[in-house]
Amino acid sequence: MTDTPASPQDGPRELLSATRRLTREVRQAQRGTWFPLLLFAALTLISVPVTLNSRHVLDCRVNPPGKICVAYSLGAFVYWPLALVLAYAVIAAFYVHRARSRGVGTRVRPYVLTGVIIALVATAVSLWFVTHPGAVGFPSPPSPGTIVAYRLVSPEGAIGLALLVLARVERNRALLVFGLAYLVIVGFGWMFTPRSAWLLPVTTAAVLLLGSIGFALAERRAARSVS
Amino acid sequence: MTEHPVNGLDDVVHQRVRLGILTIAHEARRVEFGFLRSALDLTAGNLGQHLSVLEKAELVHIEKGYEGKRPRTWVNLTPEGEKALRDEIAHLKRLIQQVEQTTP
Repeated sequence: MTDTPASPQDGPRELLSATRRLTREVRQAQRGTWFPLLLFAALTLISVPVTLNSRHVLDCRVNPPGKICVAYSLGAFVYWPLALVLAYAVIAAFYVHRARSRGVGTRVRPYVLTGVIIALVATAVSLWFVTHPGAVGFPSPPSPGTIVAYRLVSPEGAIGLALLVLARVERNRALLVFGLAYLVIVGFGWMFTPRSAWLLPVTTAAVLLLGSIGFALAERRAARSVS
Repeated sequence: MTEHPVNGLDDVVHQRVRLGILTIAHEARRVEFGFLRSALDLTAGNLGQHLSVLEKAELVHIEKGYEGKRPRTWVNLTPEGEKALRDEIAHLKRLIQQVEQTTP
């Protein structure tokens, strides 16, 4: 017989609190936040030599009363879209394998799809920015708002925006806070760092790496408390 | 006069283990027998009986297969199962609310 007599455990409050506990347990089994953070930290670090060593384009156009010049790394425009799309494929495979081995399904698809779309849109917008320098208010220097917008559509910004989707998918408040803090660093970090091609990417990579370590430790502690 | 929330409770779902199975299957989308067994702390036979009650009521769909050489049983929630879980949670919340209102 599968029906057990009513017990204090079957009271509405107890049943609801049991469903909340089980929901937490499933979410815990599905999470693997440390992995995308680690992967993106590695990709951001690798991007530094790629950007510095690849061919740079200096595009100068006559724009009365003067000339407007834009310099950018050609390698970055090839590296980032490829790296991000590949990274999302690897992340999807990781989550599917991990979920299967733990005996649960996964909710990672919206994150992966949104991540790829954001990465491609961000690349297209960045390309538009560098090919339409006049649109950002020349001859006066770009406003802080324009620079923040430019930073948010950079590859580092695209990673951060997609992390917010992962936070929603995983219903992970800690990741939401981390993602927002990361975006603040990406968007406003340029105000506090000297002009350098490597300092900001290294800083964002370090933030991602620290986040990865933090989430890995938290996930391990939560797994121990469940078992 | 509104119906008392107790009358809306479904006997198949209003049971600790079966509500747990539906909750896990909802959250996990697809859950393996072994995960259910350890999360709900049940024997294989006991869990199997609860699953067959839910399957008979068409609230879950059970899929058997192999992963490598290991046999695996996966449980998915049907649309009816999703609705039954939603209704049960709503009834439980109303029940608590009603008890709180009537308790001095």
